[in-house]
Amino acid sequence: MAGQHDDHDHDDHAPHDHPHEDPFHRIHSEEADALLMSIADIEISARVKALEELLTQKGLVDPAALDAVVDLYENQIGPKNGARVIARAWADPAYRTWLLEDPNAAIADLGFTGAQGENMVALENTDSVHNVVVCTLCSCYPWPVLGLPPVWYKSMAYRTRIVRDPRSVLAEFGTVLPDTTEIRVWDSNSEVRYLVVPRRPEGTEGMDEAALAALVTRDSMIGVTEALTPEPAE
Amino acid sequence: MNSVHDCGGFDGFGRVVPEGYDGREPVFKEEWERRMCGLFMITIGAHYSDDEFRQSRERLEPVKYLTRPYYEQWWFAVARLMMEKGLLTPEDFARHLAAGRAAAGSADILAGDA
Repeated sequence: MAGQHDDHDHDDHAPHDHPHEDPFHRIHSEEADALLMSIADIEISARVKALEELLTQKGLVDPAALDAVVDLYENQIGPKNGARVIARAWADPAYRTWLLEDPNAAIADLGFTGAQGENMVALENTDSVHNVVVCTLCSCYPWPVLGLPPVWYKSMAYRTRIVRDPRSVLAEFGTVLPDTTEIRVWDSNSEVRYLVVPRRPEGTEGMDEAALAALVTRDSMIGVTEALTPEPAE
Repeated sequence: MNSVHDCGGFDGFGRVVPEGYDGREPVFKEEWERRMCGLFMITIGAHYSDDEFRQSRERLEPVKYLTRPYYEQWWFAVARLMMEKGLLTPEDFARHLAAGRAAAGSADILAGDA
């Protein structure tokens, strides 16, 4: 918008005088702010309930649809999806190449698509490079493959420190990497979502995809840990 | 917009505290978090965009941004957008919450707590 016909008659600085210029009949943000701050200390559960009831009364929210969508993220969409992607990449070299070159298509091929997964990038860990993902600005996260993010991923402690001192943050997760391993920290932007492809653990030769998937944890696909090592055979 | 949300590199926020690794913790700790997340998922796309939501959260007053729980920040963000879009009015909110408090107050009186 900026720069387009800025010279027409915007000489009046009182937006209240021009309600017709506001196609959404927006109230001013100061008015919303004042209301929100005046009720900010009412218990949050009551405020959420009020918001749901008001939106339901106005026909903007169907409580049954709300239950259905939340159930999806509680019970169906989660890191098990991502683990299947990683296990396939470990087991099938052609799929690995596809995942690294065209992650959207390779992930969709296993049936995982949807919101917050539209622009995926797969980051492969190697013996010399370890990748870890953050969203410093908010909480961007690849929902179709990992579900909703854990509390620590959204915390100020993680968002502030992982970009500055990743080695010590990883150590807090029990991940101690050799000094020779380069750590690359990827800060999600509003569009791109990252999936770390952990190193395939030793001792997994001949394991099938289901057994491999059981070694792929959520945290290893964010990059704060490595994949699990299989239990030694009895 | 530069504010506390743009926090990468800040010092002083302490250790990262995982609550239990690898998806063993519940997706939501409290029912209100579950409802709030659902309200967001039902209304985003239909009434506001991802970017509008993000910006609405970023406009939360900085002290509240730093001290209020994550899904409470979503409540502020969604409630603000609904008002700014004209879908809810401040009066709707005030009336509804006042009615709720009045009902709670009379319940207290009936219970002999007043």
